[in-house]
Amino acid sequence: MAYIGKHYGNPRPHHVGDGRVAALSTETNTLYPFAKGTVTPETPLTLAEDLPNGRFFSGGDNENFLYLAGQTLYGTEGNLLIDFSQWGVNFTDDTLRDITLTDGVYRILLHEEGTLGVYTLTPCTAAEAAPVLRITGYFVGDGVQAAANVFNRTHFDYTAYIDDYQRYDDTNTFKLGGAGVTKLNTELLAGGDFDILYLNEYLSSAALAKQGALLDLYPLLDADSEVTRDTFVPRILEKSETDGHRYSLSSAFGIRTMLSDRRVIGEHTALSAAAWHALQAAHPNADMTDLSEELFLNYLTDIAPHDFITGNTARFDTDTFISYLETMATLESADEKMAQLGKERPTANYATLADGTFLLMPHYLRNFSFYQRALCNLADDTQFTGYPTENGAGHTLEFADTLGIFSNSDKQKAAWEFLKLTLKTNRLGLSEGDIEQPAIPTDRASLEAQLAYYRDAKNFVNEDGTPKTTFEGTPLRALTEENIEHLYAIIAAAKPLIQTDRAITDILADEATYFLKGKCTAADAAARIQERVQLYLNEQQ
Amino acid sequence: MTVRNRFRKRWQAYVLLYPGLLGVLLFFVLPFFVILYHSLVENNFSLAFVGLQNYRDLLQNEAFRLATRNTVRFSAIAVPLTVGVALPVALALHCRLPARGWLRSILLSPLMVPSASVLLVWQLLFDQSGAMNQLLSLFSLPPVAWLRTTGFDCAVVVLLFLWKNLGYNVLLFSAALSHVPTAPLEAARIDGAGAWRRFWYIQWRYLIPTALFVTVLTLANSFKIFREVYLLTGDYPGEGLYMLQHFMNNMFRTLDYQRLSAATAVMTLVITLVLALLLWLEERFGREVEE
Repeated sequence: MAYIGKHYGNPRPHHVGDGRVAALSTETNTLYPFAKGTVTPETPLTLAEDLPNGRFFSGGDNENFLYLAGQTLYGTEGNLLIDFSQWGVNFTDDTLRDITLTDGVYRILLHEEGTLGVYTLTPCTAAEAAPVLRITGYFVGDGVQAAANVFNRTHFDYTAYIDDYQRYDDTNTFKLGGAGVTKLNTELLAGGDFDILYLNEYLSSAALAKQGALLDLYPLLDADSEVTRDTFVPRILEKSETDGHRYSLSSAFGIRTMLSDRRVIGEHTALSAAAWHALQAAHPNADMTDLSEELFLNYLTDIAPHDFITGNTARFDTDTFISYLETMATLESADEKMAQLGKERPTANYATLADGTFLLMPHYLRNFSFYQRALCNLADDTQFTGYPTENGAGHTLEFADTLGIFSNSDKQKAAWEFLKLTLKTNRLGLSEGDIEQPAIPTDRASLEAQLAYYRDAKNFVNEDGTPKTTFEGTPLRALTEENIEHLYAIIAAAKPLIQTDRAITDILADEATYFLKGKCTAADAAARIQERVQLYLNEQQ
Repeated sequence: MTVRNRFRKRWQAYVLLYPGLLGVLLFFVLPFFVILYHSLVENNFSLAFVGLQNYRDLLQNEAFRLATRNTVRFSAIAVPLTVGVALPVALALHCRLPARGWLRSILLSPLMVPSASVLLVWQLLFDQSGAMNQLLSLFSLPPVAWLRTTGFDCAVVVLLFLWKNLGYNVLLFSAALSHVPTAPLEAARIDGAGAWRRFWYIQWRYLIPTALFVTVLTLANSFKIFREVYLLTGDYPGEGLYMLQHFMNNMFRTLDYQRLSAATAVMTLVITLVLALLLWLEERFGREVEE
């Protein structure tokens, strides 16, 4: 019987490809095959009363638990011990309950269709281990985790392994971007063994591309017969290019915008700063929106790279930016005013948009359900206006689960296969609230499949023939071709959210907070932001 | 001493120095050559040799130039100030002042307090509504944004540096003063020389090597002010406080290892030249004193 010893992270069940299942130790990069086993209790036992001395694996409440007593494993459903039976070969990571190593014996517990089973290590020929495809990042998204599971069940030449450096952070202080990021950066510079990099605000694609750490994916894309540039939603690829190169691939995106009611503010598909000031003057009693100053700051940070930075020149010392800071101060004072009056500040929703209490409502188009809901609630008067910006093109497109291939990886082809797989991974729920992250697919076929669902009216009718409704009680309807064309137009018009270095975000937050505390004027804060951001930009030249 | 004895003594010296030298080689000299190598390549991944291109880019970088100016300006103000104030204080303590033991303790106490704790107090002192502005208001003067106004921010940091390093320099000068022979001083006093002439022609001659040593130490400490400035103002302070180590710290954070290496090499070269000059002066004046 082979002794596995210390394992790195959670060993994952793995298909060997010949019908056997095994556990992969990523530290030793070795597969340890298992034979299926069964555990059956001799007599049914009531919960917690007749169980012999042992220990709990998980759960611990009185409803469901796993219990090891000697060499026997028990599980529960309701108040009775359930019967274990033979396992089928196909299982998923969702069924994995626990793994233990006790006295050199490895046991894996899996739960599938209400039954529990155990695998016990048996002497047999070890399978040849597949090389590990390492996916590294900080705060790696769930979509990539799901893709790795699918990859491991369908590809036997490599094993995808997620290495999230967030585990190196100090769990006592839980400071984001701390020890884990520093360790990752250090290992990257030292030429560590990486294959795929998960890119986000902590691991910047721009910085890595500049250092030559990322592979240009266009040659791989153009040489691939399965995935081509036309596979993607129109214009999506160009929105994430860097100087004509492609250093990353994202499987999904969302659009940050603002909604308005055209009966209130007139026809606007984009708002320039001048138009916005004119609207405010025309509606002096209306609130801009119910953004708190914190959310407003996030919005400023989102639009800053497009509106206030041109190349290597910052332009924060402009009247437009100063007016934004002054607007931010009014948001807080509006809250204070209402509190003094003993009233609660109204929230922006479809009703308060329609009656003119609010002029704009922040809206995040994460999936088509959000789009449908907005259209149904405001009907023909719905406008996707976007954020007011100096140049008036305020839809912002945010990519999710962005991956790049490390230029020094010796598994670039396998890495490319993994990236392609993420485009098709079905993690996109069709119903509202399923997904927190941006979830509109960048893959054209996946997007059109979703749109087909939303085109079909019978998907929005209950069994009794009554229409399904939004949370607000408005009947849902299918999207029309005009709606879909409009959606494509918003996607085309949206500017990509540039993941600015956190330095700019921190500078904006720092100075804006100082201003909001009344310690300086908006002009002083803008001047200070200008000075510090320009310093940052000068560094990057 | 015979040749053999001389050789053995020299060999013994090398054997005793060997562990220390090995440590310096492994942890300073070799890493420095690694840094030099990285300063001559395009990036850490292609390792393509680009010669002095990184240095050219560095010297043309506005942020690097600003950082260099600020660092030189800060050192040019803070080092002479700290050394210049430490000497009279040491001379004062050398006289029979009452409670000079307490004064020494007070001067040395900043060395014992962790920087992070101290900075919290300084932030409160120099905050918009802090004690300094309240003091100004007593004289009907407008409040000052001390850490956010160019000029005042540097003054605050110089004051902080002075406060932190004065005590140690006073200690070194005090030790040197206690080793000045009293016979020449007594003779000069009997001959009618005043306090200034006794100081300038006798005490100062003996203090020159120490003064140079203190200057070297203070100069080295002046580069460590980054720690305090970083804790006070973050990665990107205003233009007045942006130091060379801010530049280098940020280059590491943005993975620009080549520019970081080039900046390190340039800074090392400049510091080496300055130190070499100071050490030469120390040796020359030291020999004069011995003679």
